[in-house]
Amino acid sequence: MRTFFALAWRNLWRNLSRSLIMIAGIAVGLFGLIVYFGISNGFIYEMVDAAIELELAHIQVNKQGYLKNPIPKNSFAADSLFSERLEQIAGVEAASGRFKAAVLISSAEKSSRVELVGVDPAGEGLVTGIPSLTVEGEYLQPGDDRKIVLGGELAKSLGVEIGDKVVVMAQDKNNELQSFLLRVGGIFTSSAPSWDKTSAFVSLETMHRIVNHSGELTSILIRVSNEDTVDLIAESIRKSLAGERPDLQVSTWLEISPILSQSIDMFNNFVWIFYLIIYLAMAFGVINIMLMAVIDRTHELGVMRAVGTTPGQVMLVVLLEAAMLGLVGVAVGGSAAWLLNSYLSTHGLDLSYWSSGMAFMGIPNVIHSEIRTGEWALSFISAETAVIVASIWPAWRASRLKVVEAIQFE
Amino acid sequence: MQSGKKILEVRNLRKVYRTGEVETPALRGVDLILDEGEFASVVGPSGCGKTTLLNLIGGLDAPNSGTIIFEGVRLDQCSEKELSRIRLAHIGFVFQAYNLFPVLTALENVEYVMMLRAVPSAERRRKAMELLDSVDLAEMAHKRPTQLSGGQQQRVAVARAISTDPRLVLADEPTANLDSESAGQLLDLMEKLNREHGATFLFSTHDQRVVARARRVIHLRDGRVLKKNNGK
Repeated sequence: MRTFFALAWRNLWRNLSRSLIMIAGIAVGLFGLIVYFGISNGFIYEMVDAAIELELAHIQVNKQGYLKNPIPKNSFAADSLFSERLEQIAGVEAASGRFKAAVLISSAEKSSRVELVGVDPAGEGLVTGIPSLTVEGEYLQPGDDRKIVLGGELAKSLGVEIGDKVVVMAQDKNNELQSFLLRVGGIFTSSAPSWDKTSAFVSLETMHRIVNHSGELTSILIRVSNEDTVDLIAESIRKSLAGERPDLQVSTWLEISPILSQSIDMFNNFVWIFYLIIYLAMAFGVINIMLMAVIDRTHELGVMRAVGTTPGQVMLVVLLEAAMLGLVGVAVGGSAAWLLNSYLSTHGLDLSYWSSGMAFMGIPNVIHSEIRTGEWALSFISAETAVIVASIWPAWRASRLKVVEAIQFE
Repeated sequence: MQSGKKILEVRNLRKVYRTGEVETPALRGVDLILDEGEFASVVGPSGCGKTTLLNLIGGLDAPNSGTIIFEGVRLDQCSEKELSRIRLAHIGFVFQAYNLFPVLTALENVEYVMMLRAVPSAERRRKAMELLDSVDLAEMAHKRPTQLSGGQQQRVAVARAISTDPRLVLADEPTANLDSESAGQLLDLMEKLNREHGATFLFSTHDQRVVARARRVIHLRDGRVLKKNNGK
């Protein structure tokens, strides 16, 4: 067996240019695949990250039916202790309540329909990243009354600045129209300008006065310590609430946002399509080069058979050659991909040129590549497997050579 | 040394090559008997069927009709797999063009057939060195074929051919690519191996100097064995 390995390895370098071409084909294919994988993952993670940080959090508790019909009437009774109790569940890092309603916000210049969200100023920063997005003024603080924080695009659209007054008009619990005068205390900017344009925040206390839903919430947002265990923690919360609060439902961010889920599926499907295209192209290259190698060595293969090498052993030698070429190609392509991925994961890929399209999806302009250990392994193993599978036919052809014709082959 | 025991019997062997619609008869009914230990040559002009006869006897090709009985086994009725096994176990080949594996050293080339027969590596290495020594090439053990002369390569090929103590060694024009001195040395070696190892040698040639060294000469012409000194 060692002789076959030696034979295969040394045969690789008999035709250096041919071997280098095959190695380059495998390396470039694998390099492209891994880099695409990393950037695609980066897109997904940024998209999910933006959604979780801005709106969804990891888990939400809502009244049954709220997600299908997110109106104030589908709110539920909950005090601050309720959030604190949820924080006791293993894996929950923070929980904070919200009340959301569609309102009309007007300045001296313009009116706009927005999603007004009443938040707990102390807890909001623990479950979302919105407070950290404040670019002017200050985010809501405990005790703030009649203060509103606007998205940058909304503020621009209304023509207001810090300190200006706006009127918020909403339908309260009794279907009466209420209007409130609020002062702009802060302006924030996120990676999703379209969301900025329709978002504004006030304290829960202010919100309760506007909509007359005292002591009620439309959702409790929950952040977990380990994102990989979101489903498990959601299940724990469900079990915890099952007997006591059957009126509530617990949903993960993926369950709340089917569009996000579909976007992720779309990206993942593209990755598999890319895999298929790359590996098909690689396979045809391998088949071509290995067939040439077999034809070139027809005479030698005939001699091998003449002295007693079995067809299976001939096939083995050719497969070993291809496998070794594959390993070298994988090593070269994988190393290059690792280097580029290391750079892109740290410095990111600047896609500012397409910023408007990216902003539509809530993705920042700079994407950081990300590949998990399992994905690295999958890429390497699948590339090597593709090479070996592609070389089966040339190897089989080599094993089927007629001995006497092969010996006489010039 | 000849033992008188029959090792090979060929009866009415025929082989026809077809190229498109053209049929070329290579053997037209060859009869041949070879005893164990014989040192025989098949001679004839180019195209008379020498290589075809050796290929059929060696199981590298199949006849159109006739029988080949080697050590009691009908080679003409064996499958490809069985022929492979018989070649590996009982038949050694020496080719006109040496046909050493270019990426293996002289030592590894000699070891190759023993490796196929699963001889343990230490034992096959020892035996391969002994064989190279017996062909005066011990010091070239780690050289590759491109670093050896034609004569040296052919001696390595002979060492490879007898490495597994085959019952029969078939050599197809083994001296064709060698100068006179190398050809003479090769024949000395083959005779020595025939005497010392008892392997039966059947080689083809059209070189009269080589014919002179054979203890038995089989004349082939136009695919038939001539009756003069052709065997039993």
